[in-house]
Amino acid sequence: MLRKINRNYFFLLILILKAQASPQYFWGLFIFIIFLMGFAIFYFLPMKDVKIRELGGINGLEEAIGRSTEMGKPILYVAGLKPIPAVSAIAAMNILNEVAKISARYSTPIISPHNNPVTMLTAKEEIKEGFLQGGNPDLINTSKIFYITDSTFPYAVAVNSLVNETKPGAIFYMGTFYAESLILTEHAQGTGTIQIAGTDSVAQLPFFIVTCDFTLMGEELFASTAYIKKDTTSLKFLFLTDILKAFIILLIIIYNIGHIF
Amino acid sequence: MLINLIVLFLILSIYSFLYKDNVFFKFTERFVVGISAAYGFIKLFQRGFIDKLYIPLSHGNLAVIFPALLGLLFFGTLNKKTAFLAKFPLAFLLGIGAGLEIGPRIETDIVKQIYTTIIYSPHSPWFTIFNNIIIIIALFATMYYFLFVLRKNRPIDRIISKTGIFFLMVGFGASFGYTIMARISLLIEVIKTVIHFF
Repeated sequence: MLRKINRNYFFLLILILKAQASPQYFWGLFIFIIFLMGFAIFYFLPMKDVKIRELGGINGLEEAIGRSTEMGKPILYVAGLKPIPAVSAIAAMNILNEVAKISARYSTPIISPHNNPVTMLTAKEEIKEGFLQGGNPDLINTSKIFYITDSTFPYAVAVNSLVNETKPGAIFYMGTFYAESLILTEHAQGTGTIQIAGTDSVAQLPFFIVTCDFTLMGEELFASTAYIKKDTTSLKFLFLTDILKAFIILLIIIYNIGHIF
Repeated sequence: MLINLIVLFLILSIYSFLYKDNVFFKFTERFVVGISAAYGFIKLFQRGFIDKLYIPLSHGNLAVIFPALLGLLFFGTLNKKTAFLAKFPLAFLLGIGAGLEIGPRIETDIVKQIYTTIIYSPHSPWFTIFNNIIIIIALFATMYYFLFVLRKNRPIDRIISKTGIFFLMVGFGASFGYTIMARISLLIEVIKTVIHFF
């Protein structure tokens, strides 16, 4: 452990020296404070009694899949347009794993069209793992997880057509979306499907809020991983980002008040 | 003339979906998806294989062999026995992708946002100062809403969160209206194209 700490401090020292050599020395101090907080949280803070606030979108997953099962329809999972190295795509894959687990319990098939082959491969792995963890490996059907095209609007049209043909009971939109968001969700809403969305695209959030039953807004999408897993490391990361946000709020308020007086 | 006729046919076929799903819409949808997939493949072949592998190799840059080999492992998915090989490049992409994205995100999503919110100017007119105060309150309440662990369920927390949601919805409403205006201008362009044909 001590070796690990020493190594971390060595990198921190380099960061601060670099930052102080530039006019942005403030950010060196900022990184230093964040590092100290992170260190304190990760090594000293017990996380037994920490509770995350309710996320309606994640609570609604089971309800949506259950409704789909009652109707005897499959579910559709759309994993956004940013390919897999993007943080939003990784969060979408984490949620897909949870969706696959619940689907395995209810014996409901998943259809997942993709606009990127790498994302499609990751989705296949997540769904396989989810169905195995859910205790229903016989239901794994990788032919239902497929690539369409990487162009935005043809992809949206193809997904809409898929909604028409398969008539899913629930549709999940997780990840980064662009101008096609309203085309996708508005059409599906007309078919009476329950829809849950989660995106970090601020410009697309209004459309999801209007047309979907539940929406994970911005950072809620990233926090959903910790909310689903509830493991100590994820909780600590979430706690750290909370402290960072509180620190930024304080910084802005103090700076503005300082200017006034 | 022929091109215009094809454009008109495609536009009307897509809009026919407003009535109900039909064979013209299905044809146009498959047509557009097929063309875009083929175009995507050619683009990827040119930019990925020719520009990033073939040309560097022909100039004697052997370093590109390693990422190419890593990429080749994706073909392992073609056979069930070798499917596990695709996990190596996937793991590499997942690890490096998250790391690469964090740096620019700190700059654009945190640092620039803080700079633009520190807005007090002593020589501004009173309404600018008033607006700035509202921005600070909105920012505080909205960020408070996005606290996941520190925010509890006390009455004061609920009041601040509701204020945050209120400001969020005001912002979303404005954004929604703005985008609808942009979409209507797109519709007008399409209608103009159709009218021009006749």
